[in-house]
Parts: sequence; C-alpha cells; structure tokens
Amino acid sequence: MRDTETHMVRFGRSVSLMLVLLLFACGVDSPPVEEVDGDVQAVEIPEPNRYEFGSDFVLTDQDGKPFDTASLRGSAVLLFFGYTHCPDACPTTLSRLNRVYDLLGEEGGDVRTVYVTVDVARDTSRRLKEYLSYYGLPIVGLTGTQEEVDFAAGEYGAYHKVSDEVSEAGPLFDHTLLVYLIDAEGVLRYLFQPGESPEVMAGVIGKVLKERR
Amino acid sequence: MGMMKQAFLPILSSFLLFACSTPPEPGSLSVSDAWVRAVPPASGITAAYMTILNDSEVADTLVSVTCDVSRVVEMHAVEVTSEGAMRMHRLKSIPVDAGGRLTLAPGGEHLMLIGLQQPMQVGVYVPLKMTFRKSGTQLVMARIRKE
Repeated sequence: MRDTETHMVRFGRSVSLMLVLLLFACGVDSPPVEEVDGDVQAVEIPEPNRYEFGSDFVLTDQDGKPFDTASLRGSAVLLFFGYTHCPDACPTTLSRLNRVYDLLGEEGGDVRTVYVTVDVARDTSRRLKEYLSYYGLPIVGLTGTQEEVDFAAGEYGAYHKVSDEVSEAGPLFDHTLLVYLIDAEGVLRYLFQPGESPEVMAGVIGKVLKERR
Repeated sequence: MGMMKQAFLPILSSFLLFACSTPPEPGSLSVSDAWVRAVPPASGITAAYMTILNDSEVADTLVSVTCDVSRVVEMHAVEVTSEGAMRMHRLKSIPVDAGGRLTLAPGGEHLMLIGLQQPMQVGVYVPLKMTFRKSGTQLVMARIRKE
C-alpha cells in the first residue's frame, strides 16, 4: 500500500513537472504582453468637461427596490448601459472598470458604478444581482420597465435596440458602449470611449475627485 | 500501477503536446494565445479569443467551431460606430489570408460560446475544435482568464 502511495506521489510529481515544462515550453502560462514602460505619467490625461445633458432617473435596483440616481450625490459615478447576455463588449467594460478601481486604489471608495440593463425582459433584479456580484465592484445594477429604461438611456443619448442578427444566444442588442463619468454634484463630466485605457479613465476620474478637495 | 503508468504517460504527453499547439510545420495554420473570458456562473455565455497564423501560401477559412462546454459556438464581429454604439454581426466563416495573421480579440471578431454547461473557472482549459476549410480540424486549448 505504502509502495503504491509512493508510486502515486512520484507519478503525480512527474506529471506535474511535465505539465509545468510543457506549459512553459508552449508559453501558455506567460503573462499577456503589455507595453508597460513603468511610465504612467507619459499618458496624457484629458481635462474633464461639463456637459449639459444627462439627468437623474429612477429605476429598480438588484434588490428589487426603487433607486433614484439623485441618491448618489457626494460620489463620482461611472454609468453604463449593457446587458448580462452580452458576450463580449459588456464583460470587457466590466473588466476595464475592475482595472480602473485597482488603479484608483483608496480613491475608488468615492466612485460608484451604475449598470443599467437595456434587456429588461431577461435582466431581472435577481439576475443582475447574481451576475454583478461576481465582479466585486461597488456597483448598482438597475432594471425597470421598457419605458423607464428608455427614459434613462434617452437622458444620456445612449442608443439601444434589439439587433436583427439571429443568434442562438437569443436577442442581441446594439447599444452604446460609452462609460459616463458623473461628478459628486450630478454633472456629466466625461464620456469614455470603448477603447479608452483604464489608465486614462482613472486619470480623468482622479481629476474630478480632486476638484472637491 | 506500473503498467498503467507506462501506458498512460506517453498518451498524456502526446495529448499535451498536441494540446498546446507547438509550432507547426511550414505550410500550416497555427493557433496561439487562445483564451476564454471568465464570466459569472449566472451567465450562460462567454467569448473566446486567439491569434491564428496562416504560415502557408494558401488562404484558408475558419468554417466552424465546436466545444464540449457550450451548446453552440458562433463567430461574431463587433463594429463600434463613431457615436460609440456597438453592433454585433454573426459571421458564417472567418477568412485567414495566406501568410496572414488573424487576431480574435475583445471588441473585434470573436467566438461566442453559448449555453455554457459548466461555470467558467479561471485557469481551466476549454478545448475548442476548430475546423478550417483547407487545413482541416484542430483542437485548441483555450485557458479561462478573468480579464
């Protein structure tokens, strides 16, 4: 029995070693190539703007309770429109936001994220809660009736429409991928494009947060 | 045990060598940096990304992908309009130019894994069976990453 165990251990070890070597050899385990020059300052951080559109709205949060965005005064807000069945763009945005919070560090405590679904039929409060809790962000997931979501999206010029593409995934949505930065007074300050780097995003958010001090 | 060990190791190693798509012979298609995005267990859908290198003088086309952990795999392209709106297009196939490199990446062309049969656990490999019109089928191991 002992002999078998030793054998198993050795066998396990050689297999693990081989795995490690192979993974190493194939480069599967190597970190993604990133252009990090250790030079974050080199990234130019644009100045925040002051937009005259974008107002408060009331929707239903992930706990099924009414949520008025006016209650977010005092925090900076990152607002975006997405849906949980979105396979590429929305999870990419959530990942970018995760990185933004990492970069903000302690300052991130003054920043709330608001995720408004454009798929009111499938994204119930419960589903939003299950889905968003995975990301561990200070995030509010909002849903509502079609009219309520249309109003919220309309206030921000956020396009959203069921796509005519037929997919096994069910309805796909064409939608705006901007992330809206709203300051602690409720003024829309910046529109982050889908390609905006987390470094630039964190930089602009940092500028808006500093105005208060 | 001894017997098993002897029989198992070569099989395992050949499988692993096959799995990590070692540099191909000239004139073939190779896939590298394949990964699948980790998504919440509540999600039934995710995407796979990779680089496909066509090291031959013949153009090829990715015509289908299947995967054990998802009910279906579709090919999609993403278009971002100047207003920042995103549109997805389902593709019937994806061409890979002769001597060309095709990158499937977030915000661009990607494989959509629909109807996930199990949670997407970080670090685990997802086998993707990718069929190209000319060069045939190859198995690609895509690692699940949270990013």
